[in-house]
Amino acid sequence: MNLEVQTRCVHEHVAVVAFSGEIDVYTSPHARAVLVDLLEKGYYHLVVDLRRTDYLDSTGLGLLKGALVRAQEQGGSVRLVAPPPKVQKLLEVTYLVTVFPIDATEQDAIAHLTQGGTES
Amino acid sequence: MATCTGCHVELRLPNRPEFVAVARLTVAAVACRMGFDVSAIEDIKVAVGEACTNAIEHGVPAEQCAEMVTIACRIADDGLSITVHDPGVGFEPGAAASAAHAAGTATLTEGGLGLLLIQALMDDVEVTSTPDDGTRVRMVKYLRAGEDRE
Repeated sequence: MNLEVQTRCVHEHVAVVAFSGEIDVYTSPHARAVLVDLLEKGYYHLVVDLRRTDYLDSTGLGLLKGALVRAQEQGGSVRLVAPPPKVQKLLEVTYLVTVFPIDATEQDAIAHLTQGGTES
Repeated sequence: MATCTGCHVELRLPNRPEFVAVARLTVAAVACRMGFDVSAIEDIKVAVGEACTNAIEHGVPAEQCAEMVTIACRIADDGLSITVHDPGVGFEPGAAASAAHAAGTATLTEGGLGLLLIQALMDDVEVTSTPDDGTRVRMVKYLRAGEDRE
């Protein structure tokens, strides 16, 4: 499978998920399972690191949107980190840039979640 | 690649998710040989991947591996024409267009995103779907001025 997923729980209710490789119809079930697992464990603020995501299609976009809906149901959020230009283009074409906050670095995203009062 | 104008490249792949990458990488290689720039090749890769994903998700069941997804590329002097065909039960293209439109709004759903991406990334897109012949997505990417036609 040409997708590597690394997760790190950095704070109460806050987890970082880093996708390296390709998210498509073949790999997205694995990616979706990781996100759902974190949400079910109470990590409803997710930082999704896309810096090393080489390819992402509609199934990848759909799973991000699905994670956002589930997170928001729990009062949480999903933030994206530094998508490559080709992924950024797809986020813009589908208007998902208006849905997801995008941060330049993982640290920026974590700081926003842990210092921005979202834990209350 | 001017001498290859009119050449035809065809792939027949099992309708299984693990073969979508084979389709998009093969077509990307054809586009690369034609002299498309990196950005256009990325557009083609995503569009082909989306068409194949639709074929797998809405075509015949994966268990029937004899049923294939066909990806046909025709190299023209001014661009690349790609047709992705699946022998599934078809769907109503008008409904798909509505889904694609909805996908671009706050009410977006996962299913409508694929066609929206194809329409946004390719220059010409035509979707035909009938119960007898399945679904056929024909899409064209034109070479732009400055891209190599050699």
